[in-house]
Amino acid sequence: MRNKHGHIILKTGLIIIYLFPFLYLIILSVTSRFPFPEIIPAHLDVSHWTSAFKGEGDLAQSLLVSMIISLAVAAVSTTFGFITSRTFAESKYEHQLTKLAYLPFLFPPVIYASMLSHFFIAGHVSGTIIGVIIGQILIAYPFAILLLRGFWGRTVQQSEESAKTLGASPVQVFIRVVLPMARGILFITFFQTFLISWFEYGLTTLLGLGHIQTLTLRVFGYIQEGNPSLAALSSLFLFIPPVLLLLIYKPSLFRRRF
Amino acid sequence: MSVLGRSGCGKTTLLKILAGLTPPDSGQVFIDDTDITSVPAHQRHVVYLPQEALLFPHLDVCENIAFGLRVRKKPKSIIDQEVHKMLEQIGLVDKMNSRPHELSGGERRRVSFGRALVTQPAVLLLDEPFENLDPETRADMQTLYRQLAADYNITSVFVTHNLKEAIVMGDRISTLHDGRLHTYSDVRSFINDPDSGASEEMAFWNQFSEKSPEYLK
Repeated sequence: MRNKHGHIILKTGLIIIYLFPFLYLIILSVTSRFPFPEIIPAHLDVSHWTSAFKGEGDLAQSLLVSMIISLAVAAVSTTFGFITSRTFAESKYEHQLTKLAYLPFLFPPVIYASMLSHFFIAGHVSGTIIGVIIGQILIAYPFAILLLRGFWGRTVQQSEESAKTLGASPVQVFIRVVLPMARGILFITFFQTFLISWFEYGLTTLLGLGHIQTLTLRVFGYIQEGNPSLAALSSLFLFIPPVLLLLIYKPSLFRRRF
Repeated sequence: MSVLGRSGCGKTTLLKILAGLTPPDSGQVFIDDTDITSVPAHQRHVVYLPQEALLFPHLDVCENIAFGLRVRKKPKSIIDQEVHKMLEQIGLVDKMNSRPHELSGGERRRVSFGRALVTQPAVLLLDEPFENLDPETRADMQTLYRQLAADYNITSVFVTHNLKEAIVMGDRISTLHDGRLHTYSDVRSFINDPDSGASEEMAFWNQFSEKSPEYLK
């Protein structure tokens, strides 16, 4: 009986700890005046929400920019990471190549971006969405390679061989065997590289030259301005797409396959 | 044909060359006097069964068996008919919608047989298929395989390092040693060859039948 009560208290406590920040953000986002030491805001203001949902103002634009950049980075990194990781797995220099994939992580992204900024300026992509996408791919792509490298093991190789001798052409092997087997890890890679891009701040600031205002940059901007209402609203927008992605793919992620 | 050989002598490499999965350093591969050396694996009609009964994890038993027929774009009615017939022959009709992880080792091996035989290959290559099974299941699988091979009139190459299994499973026996394949004319010549190891094994078991019962206690 004591154990059961303990579990209930622990669960309740964890739920409160995890949910409280979101509830607090929601409250902050619907009030323009919430001075300390008041516990309940005196005045509710949903104008920021209505502007955002109407597509007006900077927040909606930043949300769109962030979605475009992160989806592009995730799609390109996952696709080329999949192809490259397979090439690594089939190469006799597999270990040396895998070590090369770790190189971008020797430096923090902002240092990496400052080393590359000269080339971005020379290439006329600094301060553009394309430039930010390229910069983030330089971080996300090797990460995708390392994540996907583990997929190309003996099981996949033997499955491919079996499929070939059963009459499947190389294209059929890829579509009917490899892709279905890789679905889970491909989604995890897409999700992880999406998050790398979505929350990226330093590299985006440097390469975007202040012109590319992603949602993450907006959050910090509003905090620096001392605008807690907009900071709270943009923070809520920041976590919605990743949660949606997770909810969409959760069934396939956690279905037992092997 | 059973092929016997020590670990590392090249049995798996031999099968993979025959299947088109590994290119040979030299030489040619013929089936019915046709040179298939440059024919890609998926066009040879030679099915390779690896040591592990590796089924496609994203497909259930029915779809695993149907795989070879689907990639050959057989009509749906033919696929359904052939798959159901095979499920009955391997005794897994009640497991047709099960996923590979829900099957025992013996059941997975039966599905892998079914998946291979339903395509009616020209040659079936079996790479120590019963290695990881217990003796009883192993004996059941040997019986099942011989029955299916006879029903479908399949030519097969069966690789093993188990002497008894080589004799049970093969109409002809070969040994692979130092890159050379030696084929015996019959089981008697295989047993009589001192290099085959058969006589030593028989002598080992015979010593117990000659001893008194007290020796065995």
